[in-house]
Amino acid sequence: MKPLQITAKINSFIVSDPWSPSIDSVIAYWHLFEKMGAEEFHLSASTQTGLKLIDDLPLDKFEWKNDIWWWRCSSPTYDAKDMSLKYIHRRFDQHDAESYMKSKKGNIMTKAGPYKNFRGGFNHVVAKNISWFVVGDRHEIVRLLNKCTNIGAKASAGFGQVKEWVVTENPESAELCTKRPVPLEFADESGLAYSSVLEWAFRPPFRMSENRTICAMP
Amino acid sequence: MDARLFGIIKTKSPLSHISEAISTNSYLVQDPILQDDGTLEEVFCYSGNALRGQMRDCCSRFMLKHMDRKLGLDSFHLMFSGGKIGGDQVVDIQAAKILRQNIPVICIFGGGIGNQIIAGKMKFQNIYPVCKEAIPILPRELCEKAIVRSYVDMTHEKSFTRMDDAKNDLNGDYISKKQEKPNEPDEKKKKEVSDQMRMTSELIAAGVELYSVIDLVGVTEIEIGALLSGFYEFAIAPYIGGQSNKGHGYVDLNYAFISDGKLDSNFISILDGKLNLSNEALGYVSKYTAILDRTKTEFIADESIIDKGKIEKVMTEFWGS
Repeated sequence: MKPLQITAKINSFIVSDPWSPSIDSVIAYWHLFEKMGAEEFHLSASTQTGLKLIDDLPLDKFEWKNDIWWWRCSSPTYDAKDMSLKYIHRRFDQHDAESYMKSKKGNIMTKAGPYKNFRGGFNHVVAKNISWFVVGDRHEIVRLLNKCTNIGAKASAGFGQVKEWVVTENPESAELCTKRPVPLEFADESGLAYSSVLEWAFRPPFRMSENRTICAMP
Repeated sequence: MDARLFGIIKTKSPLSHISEAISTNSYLVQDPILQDDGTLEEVFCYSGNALRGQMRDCCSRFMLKHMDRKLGLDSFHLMFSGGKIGGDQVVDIQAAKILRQNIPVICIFGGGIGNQIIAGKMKFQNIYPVCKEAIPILPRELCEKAIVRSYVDMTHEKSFTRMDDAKNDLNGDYISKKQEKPNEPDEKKKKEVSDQMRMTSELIAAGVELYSVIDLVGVTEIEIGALLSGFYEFAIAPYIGGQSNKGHGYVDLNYAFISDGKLDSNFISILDGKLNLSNEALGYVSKYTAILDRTKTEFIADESIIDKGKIEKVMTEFWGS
């Protein structure tokens, strides 16, 4: 395990908060994808019950107390050159419905309800690079990240395309990887500076209740 | 396997893909692209989501035509629009698995099934013109071509007129005379304004090359065939973007395919509406159509589906019969 700097060369990505995307969850995604196989992974990822604790990532663990630990990796850092709202749309295909849908009595409501047409806005950030500081196994991290073509939200719609992953040794990473959400009690105990306090996950999977607590946010 | 389809979509007529409209003027979707000197340049972006939606429709059409079947409302919505989430607060992994095994299109595009959102296996990247302003995001092989083309020269505005034919005297004989009401106030008559309008669209010029990438992650050969089947439908009307009723968005395309370091440069092409597939691509399509033929008479299930009665229940519910 060595102190590393991971950089994704991108043009833009969609993100909802300044602490995302977190690199431990990106690595965990591809680690599980490979371990479980595409089918099992997709099916279990859609369920809350399919969530399991992941403790075998190629990252160093920071152990605190009472089985509370997290991966030694920082939140992302990037220089946002521009931010805007991007929209994606979904509509009911009326034209195809005439040919490929069995005839149905009554109307199909598309202004509300389950078949509602959708126009969603997403926060789009323009940045050339996005970096994280981690302590981990370089070879294994490079291997897993090379599978990752997109980062951030709406990847299937083409956002957050990664042109190249660059992983280099950086001695400062061991120090910088503390800049991440950590349990509030730990932050107070260690005298870490924080900007806000939120209920957050300190390790992936982020939807798993055991991984969530009140966190100090950098 | 992991694979990538990548290539050029060439416009053969002006392309419309609008972001906003101000009054009767509509403007193209543009993405800011960060240049090497730190400045931002706005460049046209054809949304990967738009191509994804179109291919979803095309793949679904191919499947339903091949099987000569129609769908109920919920299944239609799942196949063509990605489905919905709702219903009972239960997660039925077995049902999702059965659907994915029998309908490869659902497997590659994903969708909302019951109370779950099942991810797809494809990433349709945003599509950008081959021009110097887009060099930071284009592959190195295209940079030489892109450096001599400026995005500024790739767009133009075009105006269209919609006539109010009722106001044309020559058509007077074809309009049934409205019975005048003796007491109708003159004010109401004045409010009958003309339907005539002139609108202007910003368009991408014909002849522009757009670079497109589709990443496939963890797909099977049958699932690649399911994606390729959509190109048969696409070739029938090879238009992208809006206003195809005006002839806009007619394209040629050429995709290469790379998997495990093996490159097939002429994997799929559509030239003047004529589809050409390489032998490798045809092999994937025939594997997919064989599955479609098989599911006409029987349902597929691997050994992980223990409850065999459930297979019929889920599939009967899907087909609505």
